[in-house]
Amino acid sequence: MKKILEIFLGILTAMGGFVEIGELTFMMNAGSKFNYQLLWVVLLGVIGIMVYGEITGRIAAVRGQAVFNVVRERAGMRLGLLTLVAATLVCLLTCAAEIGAIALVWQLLSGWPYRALLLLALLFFLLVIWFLPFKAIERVFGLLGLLMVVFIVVAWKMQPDWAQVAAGLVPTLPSGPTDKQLLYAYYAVALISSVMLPYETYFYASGAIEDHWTPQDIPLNRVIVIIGFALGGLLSASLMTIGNQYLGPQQVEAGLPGTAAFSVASQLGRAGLWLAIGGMFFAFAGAAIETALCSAYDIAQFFGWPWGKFRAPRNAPRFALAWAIVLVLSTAVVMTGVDPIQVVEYSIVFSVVILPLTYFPVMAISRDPDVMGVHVNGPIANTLGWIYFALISIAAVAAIPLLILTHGGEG
Amino acid sequence: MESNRAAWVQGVVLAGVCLAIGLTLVLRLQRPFDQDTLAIQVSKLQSHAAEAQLLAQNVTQDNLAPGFVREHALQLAERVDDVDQKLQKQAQPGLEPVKSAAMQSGNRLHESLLLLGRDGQRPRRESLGFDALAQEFDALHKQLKPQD
Repeated sequence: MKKILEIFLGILTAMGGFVEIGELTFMMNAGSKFNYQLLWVVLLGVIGIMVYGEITGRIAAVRGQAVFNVVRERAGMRLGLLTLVAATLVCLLTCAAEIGAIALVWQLLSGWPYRALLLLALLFFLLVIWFLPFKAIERVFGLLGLLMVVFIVVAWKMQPDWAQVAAGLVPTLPSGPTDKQLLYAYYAVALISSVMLPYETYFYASGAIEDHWTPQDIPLNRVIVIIGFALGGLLSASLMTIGNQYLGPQQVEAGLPGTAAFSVASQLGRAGLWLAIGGMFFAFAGAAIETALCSAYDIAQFFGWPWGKFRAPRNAPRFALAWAIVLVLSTAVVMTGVDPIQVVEYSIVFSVVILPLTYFPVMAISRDPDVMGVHVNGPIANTLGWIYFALISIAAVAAIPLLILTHGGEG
Repeated sequence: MESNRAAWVQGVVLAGVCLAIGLTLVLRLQRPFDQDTLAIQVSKLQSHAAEAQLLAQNVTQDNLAPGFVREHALQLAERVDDVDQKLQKQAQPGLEPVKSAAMQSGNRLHESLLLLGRDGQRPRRESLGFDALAQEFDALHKQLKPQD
């Protein structure tokens, strides 16, 4: 019974923590601009995050090592350090965007000044991470993030054309001028990155160690990544549907959390509005905490410092200092007045550049029988892992040129 | 020794690539508006006006709390203001009339959003003209990019 409850909670937590502000806006805008023509990318990305989530979770369960232990071991100091710096910068930018988005959500509720709310959000996160144990953080923000399910309900109520939805699962280039096709390619790269954001696997593997997983937890790992991420993918597809059904006909681009909230209210009234706002708050807050902790996990794992929320801050002082500094720096970024949505869009595009650097060492170690023993990659994990490695490498090479050619993804 | 030198070379190359990307972006931002870049700003204004219209529609259908409407309208007004600021930059010869028209309509959109920001129930009593503004921006966009 306890095991079933653990699986159930694990699945729900994985689903509830799947969407953050970048994914929310990219999905809705992709639906608004390209109907369902990018739905196949969501499917592709969800399978990808399942593959790498399973592999990193398995490595954590078998070796008690998270991603950046592996990066240091297999990529060496120099390439490993480059990966660490890039990953930390991307986590910091993502964290900044989530904090900014939370301030925007709180502003919708309170009408208080944006910058004051940023400081309040910083204080809130410092207190939450300092005082709450890992399990409580994971459960509270993961489970309450499930309020986002309201977006699935609304997408269903909007009665999409299911034939069009199914057609979206087959890759097709949109007709029209070259700049539209370039924008489509940019969105394809950005969507795959938003679904496979590297911090998700860093956090997932570090969380497995926080939860003291052993090889006996490998089946649990598989169930959680397959069902939890599939449900998360369903949520992403729902956002795309709402973008297509509600915002697309008016050529509206979602650039604020409130846009997503009133799209829900258009179908469910005020109750829907509050549910959407609540869901977004917990989803963005979960992502802010995950990215702040991730930066600290990555740095501590790379340099071999003691780490983990299961340790008191006095026993892992550099780890505690690292997440606190990341939170402060992230808040400073959005205090400058930069648009958090723009920040997250850039961080998502730059994320794809570091995906191959992260996943190559992970693949190298997970297929090594001397290290993994009987838990080495099977043929499915190996084949999918290398196929996805090739895909993300292509996306990584294309990301920056596409960013420039599409004027920062604007058209 | 050899390894140290290689590390320096790699570091310098990486920094050079980052600098080149940054410079390219900065130079592109400094250039006067051409058809493509002006169309981007106009389509942002069109999107904001259309979104304001959807917001107003939801007010008339009593789907939203007045406080939410006020704050979201003010957040949108700030985004419109950001676009207006960007439109201060010069446009290429021949595009100035379109840019001026976009700025004028942008100012009207900003004013209307501020009105909604003061009174979230206003669309129940009178139209704030967001629909017409969205159409104006759409027409300007078509002038710039008829093929879209």
